[in-house]
Amino acid sequence: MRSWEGVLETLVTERRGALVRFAYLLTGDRHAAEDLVHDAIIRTFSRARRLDNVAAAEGYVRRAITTQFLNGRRAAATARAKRHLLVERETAPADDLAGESAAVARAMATLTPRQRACVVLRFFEDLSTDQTAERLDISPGGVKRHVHDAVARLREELGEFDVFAKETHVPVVAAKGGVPWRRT
Amino acid sequence: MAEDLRSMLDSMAERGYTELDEVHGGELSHLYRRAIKPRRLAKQWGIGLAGAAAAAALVFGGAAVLGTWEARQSEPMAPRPADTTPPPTIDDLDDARTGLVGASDWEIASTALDAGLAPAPFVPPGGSAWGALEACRTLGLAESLDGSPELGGTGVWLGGFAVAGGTNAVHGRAFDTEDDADAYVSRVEALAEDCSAALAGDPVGVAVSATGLTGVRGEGARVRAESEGATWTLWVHVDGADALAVAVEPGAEDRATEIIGQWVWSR
Repeated sequence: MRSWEGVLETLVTERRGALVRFAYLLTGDRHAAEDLVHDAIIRTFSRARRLDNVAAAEGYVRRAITTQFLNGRRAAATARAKRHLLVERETAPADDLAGESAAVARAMATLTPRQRACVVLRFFEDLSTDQTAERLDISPGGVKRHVHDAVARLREELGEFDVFAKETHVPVVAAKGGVPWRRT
Repeated sequence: MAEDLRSMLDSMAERGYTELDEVHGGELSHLYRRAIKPRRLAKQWGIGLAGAAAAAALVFGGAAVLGTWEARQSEPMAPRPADTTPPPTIDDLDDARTGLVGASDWEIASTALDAGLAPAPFVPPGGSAWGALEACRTLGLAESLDGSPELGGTGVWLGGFAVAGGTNAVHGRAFDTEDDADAYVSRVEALAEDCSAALAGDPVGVAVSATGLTGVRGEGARVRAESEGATWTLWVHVDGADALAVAVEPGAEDRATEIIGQWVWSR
């Protein structure tokens, strides 16, 4: 098995759940989240010549998920690619989230895509303001503005909450530089 | 709501996912591999991607040979050691860098690449000193992107396009690095220059040019060997660490710029 295939298998087996969770926070829709993850994995592994590190591969996939979410693109190529990936679900997805999670989901749905992305990257991925700005290709000031507006909006919906349980700054994955088009 | 935002997002993500994806892990990785593998190969070698031909047709009308030549101070390619091992083919290789499949739908002017076409080597006319000159003989290796093993990769026969008057033969090679690929082109140019100098007064004349194609990433070299009105042309083009060589048989229509352009554009 080639190295990229081993990385792919590990990523799909061990990290796909985390990737779908991440995508779900962005989209608020499970099927859209899965679509994003499918597309991002295929794009990442189709383009990068050598992928021999699961953490780096996951970083590239997360970056691709974010980019595609913000671009809002559903290329026909994606649909074609997913034809190979259709599997019958053994459990019906439960669309009704209960209680507080539902309230959070509804509140997140009121945010703009860029606000959602800023919130997810800052508070779920634990990226710094600068890292978030780099990931989204916007200025740090833009990130702060989006976060400020998003938090204000969420507080309108959810009431008062702490932004941070404690100040954290833990890069989750190393993903600078984008998806390597060529061999690394 | 007393929770912090992170906890709320964690909870939302967890609740939104719990029932979905605890199945199919192994099956999915297999399906992903099936979907990804041909794309990687197509990206690597620029073959089989829809739309490339149309894009290339628009671009290659403007193909321009820059025609500048700078003398390169580089080591000549080592001559091919005498052996009877057949050259590698697509079927022989099963490596992420050199696995080559899917060329069957690569078309130039409605002519599909044919892996069954035998590449015809340059045959100098009688009376030429070509065969006795090491630089010229070694230059012949470049048609198959052979030689200089220290640069990595192996020249691989991809196939030929049967065009008017003959064949455009295509080889590919994945070098270790961009520098290695560039070094190979430099060696081809240096060999051609040495061959040309050694052939002074010979029936065969050799000319070499550094080349670039308008709108096409990468650069390369074009070598022309002319004799008695017949011209054999070799194009070597590198894009990153990968190279494509197109050898145009004497008398054959030269579709190399289109072939190279398609390769680059669809990668």
